Amino acid sequence: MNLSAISENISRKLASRAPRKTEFTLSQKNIYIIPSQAGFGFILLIILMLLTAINYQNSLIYLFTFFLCALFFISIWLCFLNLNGLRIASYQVLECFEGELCPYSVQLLSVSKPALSLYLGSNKQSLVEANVKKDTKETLSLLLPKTRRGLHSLERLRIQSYFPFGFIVAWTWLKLDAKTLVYPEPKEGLRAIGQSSGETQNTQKLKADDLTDLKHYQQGDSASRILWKQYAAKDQLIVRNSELGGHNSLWLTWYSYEATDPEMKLRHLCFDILDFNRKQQIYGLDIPGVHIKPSSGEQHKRRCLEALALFGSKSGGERFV
Amino acid sequence: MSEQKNNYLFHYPFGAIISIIFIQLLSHYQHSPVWLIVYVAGISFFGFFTYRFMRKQVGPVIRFSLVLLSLAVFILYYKLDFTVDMAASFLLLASTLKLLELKQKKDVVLLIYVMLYLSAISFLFVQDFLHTLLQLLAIMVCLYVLLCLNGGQYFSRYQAPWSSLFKALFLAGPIVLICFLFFPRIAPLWSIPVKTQSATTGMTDFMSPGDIAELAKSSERAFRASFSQQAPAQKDLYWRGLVLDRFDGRTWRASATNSSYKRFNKIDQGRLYDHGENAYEVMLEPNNQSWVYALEPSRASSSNLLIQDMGLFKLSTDAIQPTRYKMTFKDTTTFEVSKVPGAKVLSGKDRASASMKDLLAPKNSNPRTQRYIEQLRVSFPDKEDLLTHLMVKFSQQRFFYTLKPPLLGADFVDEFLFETKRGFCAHYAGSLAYMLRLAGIPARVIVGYQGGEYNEQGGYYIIHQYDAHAWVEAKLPERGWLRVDPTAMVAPSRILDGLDEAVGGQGEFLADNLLASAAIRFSALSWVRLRMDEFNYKWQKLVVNYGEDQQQSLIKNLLSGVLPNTGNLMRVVILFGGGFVILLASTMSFLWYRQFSGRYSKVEKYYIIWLYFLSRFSNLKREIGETPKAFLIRVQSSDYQRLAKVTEKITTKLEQDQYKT
Repeated sequence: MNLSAISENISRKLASRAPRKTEFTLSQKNIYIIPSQAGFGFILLIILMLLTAINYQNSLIYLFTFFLCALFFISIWLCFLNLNGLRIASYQVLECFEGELCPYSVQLLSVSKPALSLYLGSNKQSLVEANVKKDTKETLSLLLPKTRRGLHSLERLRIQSYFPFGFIVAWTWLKLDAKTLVYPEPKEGLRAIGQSSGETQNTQKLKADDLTDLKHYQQGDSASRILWKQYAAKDQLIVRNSELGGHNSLWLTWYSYEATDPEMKLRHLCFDILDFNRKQQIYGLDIPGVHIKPSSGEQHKRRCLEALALFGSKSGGERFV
Repeated sequence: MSEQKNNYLFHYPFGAIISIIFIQLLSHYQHSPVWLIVYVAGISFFGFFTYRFMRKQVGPVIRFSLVLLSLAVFILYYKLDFTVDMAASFLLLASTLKLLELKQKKDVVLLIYVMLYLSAISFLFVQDFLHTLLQLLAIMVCLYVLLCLNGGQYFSRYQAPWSSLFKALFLAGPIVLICFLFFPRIAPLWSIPVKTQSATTGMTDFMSPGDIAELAKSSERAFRASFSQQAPAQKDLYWRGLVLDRFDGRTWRASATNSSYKRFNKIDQGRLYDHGENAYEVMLEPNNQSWVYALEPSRASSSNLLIQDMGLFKLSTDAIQPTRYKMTFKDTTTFEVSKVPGAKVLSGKDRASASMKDLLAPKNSNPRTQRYIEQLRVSFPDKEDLLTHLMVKFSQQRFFYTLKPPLLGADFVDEFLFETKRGFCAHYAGSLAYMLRLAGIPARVIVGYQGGEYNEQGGYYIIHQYDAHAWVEAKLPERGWLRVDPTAMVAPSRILDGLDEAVGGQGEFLADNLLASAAIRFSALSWVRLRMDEFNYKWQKLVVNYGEDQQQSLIKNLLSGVLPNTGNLMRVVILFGGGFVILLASTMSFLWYRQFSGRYSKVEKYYIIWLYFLSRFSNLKREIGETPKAFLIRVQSSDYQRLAKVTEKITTKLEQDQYKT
């Protein structure tokens, strides 16, 4: 085990003990520095040159050697300064479906100096490059391998940089509180026997011409349900709670599908939610522990998907979106 | 996968890498054979064009055959005989071939490291200031490439790596200075043969008629010399180099029996001393020899000199780089003067005696001369009279001083003295020494330099190769050794005004070298040439020649006032360590200052400093969240009324600064 691997381990352990935070500022306390492979090569070169200078008693080779030596030491400093003061934060919970790469939002902010040639990732193998200009905010999403549905948080974040000459590598391991919500993979499912003929048995019909069905426009309401005639006449945005044309609103329930595997059921539910949302239908979700009243719109869709993602987990009641 | 690699390749600053190779070619051109330069340049262009226009790497078949071809030519040319220039050429060749197969980042890094090492060893061959600047440029381009490799996409988008680069170079300055001055200079750990194949112009340890005329074509510098006091007159500047005391009828050679070396042990003080004696310092250009050029009579006063018999000196290591040595010089005007024209009596215990070998003269050639000397020995029984007669003869007869003498046969002395009468200093000195030996006077030929060009602004002499000269030393029983110069009898202007005057009218001076000749003749060019030479001399004295001796005397001077009784090692440790402590402290305070100054305005800074003083000298400390005004009221209500007044003033100013519109 070489030197860099040992120090790597130490820094990882130190980081794992540190508390999980949503915001970090890099400083002496969490930046680790060691010569890189190329750096050790450079030290070898300097030693070779020094031997040449001594053996040939050549003053200018001494000068040249000391110059390279000084550059090496300065690059330690520049490498540290490059990372020092960089602020790393994660406020946004990103979302994805099972079977997709899992994105985590990481925000980099550099105050009064640029931070260049940073490599970010959760392990040493797959790193993403980022450059933060002076006094700017750079938001990037780290794509990590696919995982199962649920709320996941970034296990650890590595930031490393070989800037400026590659002799030195500075890195840090952070327990950044970055989260992502993974929804079940949408899969079309067969309806359970006896339910395929009509949704009337398990789904309730709602009357479209019900006056109580009207309400004031709220953000998130589908534009297609706005009563544009009302808007022209009264300058009020009125929306119908239900679909125009008297479409039935549906209940998506746990027992609607043939599949018995709960995960598979969740996938079918996910598919239908997306499908209904696309068709701008009104639907409600009724699965064990969660009961979401029929509605439509992006926000409603998210709420339903979230319920699917968190189904069965401890934090099922929490809301993230 | 290969596609990815290829894409990665295009991030390389290929142009910069090529330009480093060309900088190295320029740095190494003096000792590299022509085929190597053409070959390396060709391959570099080839690599560049395939990269630029065909967007791909050279194929493996071409690469492999190029490697084989290079290896074959290299072995044929150098024959595996290790020399420094062979090693340099090998590195240059190998790295150029590597240029054609840069696949990964580490290939480029390796190439850059080899280039840096090549830069370092180029100083073994050339040490002047311009060359050093060229190597600085090489470092910068190398760093630029590394910066591009490690700066990621940043530079392809913003293209401003130079600021980081200049920052690094600027910061390196103080560290380099401290290391250079105080890093302990130690003796070589093991000796490496420093052989270079390149021939340098300069003296040889034998002299045939016509030899020195070759040197007269070169305007290269042999050495520089500066005196602590008044320098001797131009005509007395006879720089003795070698004693040639074996004569085979045609060629004079140095006998190889100088074994009794004494090393001069005093440390070179880094400056010329002035107690009574005139001292001079010589900066020898690299000539791969250990010969020392000294005035007569001189004593060695630097530690790199070995003392030999016959008043000669030797360098402890060959002059493979500019070498400096020091001598003290005794003025010879106090010695009695001989009646021989132009002769100077020399003293010196080492050379008081003459041996039998100084009388050996082959009798199987030059019969006419032998007969002539027999006659003279009869008519001049006194040896001094005989010498005088011979010298006068040189000026009276129609001898002609020329750089293009006619070729001479086997009996060259006969032909020269009685027929052609045209010759250069080698002819005159060689034949005179031969005649003196025939006459029973111990004599030998001395080769070295005579005169020199005075650089008035710099106050030193430049001795060029065309100042090479040969003269004779003869021993008279009652006077000791005399320096006699037959050339001075034939062409006095050679000794008084230099070669240019002596042969100027004949268009022979630097005839093959129009540029050098123009640089000496035209005053504007000459002025520029002398200023540049002066600068290079200073560079050599201060930097190139900074070694063990200079370091110790510098350290001694720096610490003599503070720590008079510390050992040498301790001094080095103190200065080396102390330097870094100072450097670190100043860096830290600079950083602190910058952080501090960026955050606060001028008035705020005063206020903060004042708060610091208050907290130090009283128990008044501003609480977190306490406004300046509230704090002021608290100070005013305390016992420190005097401090309160100042605080009031500063607080008012602060408020004006903060709330001004």
